[in-house]
Amino acid sequence: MFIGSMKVQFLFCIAAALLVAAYGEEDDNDGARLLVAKLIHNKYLVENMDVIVKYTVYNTGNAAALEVEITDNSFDPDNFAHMSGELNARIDRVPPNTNVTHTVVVRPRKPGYFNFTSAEVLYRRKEDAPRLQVADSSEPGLAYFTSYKEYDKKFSSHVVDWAAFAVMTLPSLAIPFALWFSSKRKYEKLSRNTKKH
Amino acid sequence: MRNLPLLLLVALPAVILTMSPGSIPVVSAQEDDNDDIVDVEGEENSIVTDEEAEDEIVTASKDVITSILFTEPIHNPLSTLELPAGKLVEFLIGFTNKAEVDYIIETVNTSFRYPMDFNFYIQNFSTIAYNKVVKPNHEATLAYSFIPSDSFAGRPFGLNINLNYRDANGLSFNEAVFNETVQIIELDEGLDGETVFLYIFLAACVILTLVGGQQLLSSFGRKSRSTTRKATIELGTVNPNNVDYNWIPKETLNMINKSPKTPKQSPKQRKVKRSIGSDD
Amino acid sequence: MKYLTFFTIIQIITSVFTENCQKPEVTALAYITGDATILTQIAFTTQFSLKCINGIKGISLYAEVNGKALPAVRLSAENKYQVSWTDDIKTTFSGDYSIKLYDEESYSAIRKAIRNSEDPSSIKPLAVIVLNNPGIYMGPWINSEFLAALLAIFVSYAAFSAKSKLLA
Repeated sequence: MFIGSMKVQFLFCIAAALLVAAYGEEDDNDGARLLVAKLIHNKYLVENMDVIVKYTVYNTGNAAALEVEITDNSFDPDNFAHMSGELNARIDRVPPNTNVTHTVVVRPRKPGYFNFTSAEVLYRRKEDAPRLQVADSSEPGLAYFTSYKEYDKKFSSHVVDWAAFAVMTLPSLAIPFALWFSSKRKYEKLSRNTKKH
Repeated sequence: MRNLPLLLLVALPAVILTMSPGSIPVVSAQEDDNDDIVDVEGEENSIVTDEEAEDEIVTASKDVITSILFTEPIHNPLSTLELPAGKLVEFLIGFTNKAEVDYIIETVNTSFRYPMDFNFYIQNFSTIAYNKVVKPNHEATLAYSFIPSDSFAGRPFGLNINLNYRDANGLSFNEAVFNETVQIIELDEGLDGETVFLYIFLAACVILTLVGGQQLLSSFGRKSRSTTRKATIELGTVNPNNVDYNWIPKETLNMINKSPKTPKQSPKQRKVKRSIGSDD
Repeated sequence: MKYLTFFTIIQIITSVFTENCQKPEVTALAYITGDATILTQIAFTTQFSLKCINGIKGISLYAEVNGKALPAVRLSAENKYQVSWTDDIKTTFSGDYSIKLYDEESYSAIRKAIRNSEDPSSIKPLAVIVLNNPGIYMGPWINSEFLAALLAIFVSYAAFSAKSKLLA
């Protein structure tokens, strides 16, 4: 009888444990947890030049994140030319403790201030997650696109400027040289003449 | 059968304890309900445990889950964090809103503290204002980066990363996302190609200037010598037409010396010669 | 600006017959950020569409580039994928980067081979995309200032030597 009751208790305990575990499945510490970084890999932001936008999805949870979808609506086609890479991407699976990157290259069409805002990420915490988790990526923040003219003024090779400088200095060098050269030629002619005699 | 409830009483907490502490739905629901009321108590409790600054009378919200991940340098959570001095350190903070109301992430500030006493500040890094609204059941990621000073290399520091946020009701919260001792290490990079070439280039420049200077000096020396020679020649020769013979090549001079009279020349040429000579 | 040309060469290994995708046909478009003067890293991006002769769609693809494993990201259009990565400016080399694409099966086989320290090259990829990097523009070879200074030195040297020859 006693042993029988023990068995019942044991079963009960298992049932209780299962119950708690089932509830625990709903818990936040379980499943995938994503950190999404949106970074700009540029030294200078210049109008009509490449801007590298890189999205990195880190899974710090203990399960694989499924159907991770990155959507970035912050680069509207009026202000940005999309060079390569799409702003809507889906990754089937991000295993725990790994990261996945997605890179997009855009070009700003106009100079001026621009606020890089976050991209939106949707994902499933685990296989049987009832709903999609919404996550916002980090924000690179306010930036200034310099105009190409300004950039060129600062960083171009200035070949034209130096050529102009050379042309401007040419008279002060060339005129004395021409004078000297003409007199030299005359003198050489003279010496040749005297040799003939 | 009589000891069944007793055993249950022992077994159930054990089972519950083996699960993660936050996993009891009943308890968390209770906490959810009286979160606003209980807040004062919670604050006081956490002040004792948190080695936080003096007058900050706030604490973390129970509906918010934060996490931190160092992305630069990559950090193994089991070992102490090592930050290279003078190099960019980047980390991400994850923020999950489990409440029914919006949360607004306000600022993140990072500081180096004395590792023995976290109340003692050594360096404060800039406070970054994010002002990001996180809707219920949404997550957000924040990025923060700083550069530890080169002069801190080789010393341990208490790194404190502090997250300030408030809920839609205006209640402010404050949470130390990271509060551990870190080691600032010095990266000794070998000479890379760029610096080597820089040194080679500098050496080449120095040699070039030396050579140039020597050339210049020798040319000056020659010039002064030639002027003295010129003087003696001028004294020693008869120069009726005031012609500077210095300008005349040797063969011409020899010719002049052979014939006592100047060879027949057109006056125009002589004039040119004189003008060149007087130019000196 | 000169390096904006799209460089794509596609090689297709059709000899592989898998259950999932037979005779894969890949058409790819690639872009490499060529002007490194304003960037901190070089981005390599390639977008491609995969067509299987047996009409299989929506499979997960994995890519491997120089020993780096990258999952191919699926794009909004059907059967369109993207593989992209960034590299340090110092470590990028000009030349061909071959992106080997694997499906789930062959990818797990590769992982297994690596785990068992076997040769992973025995597993044939589904397709290979060759990305040609024509070279990254790192700025002018010599600064124009430097060139101008050099020219000035040359001119003055010529002038001085001519003068000293004249006076000697």
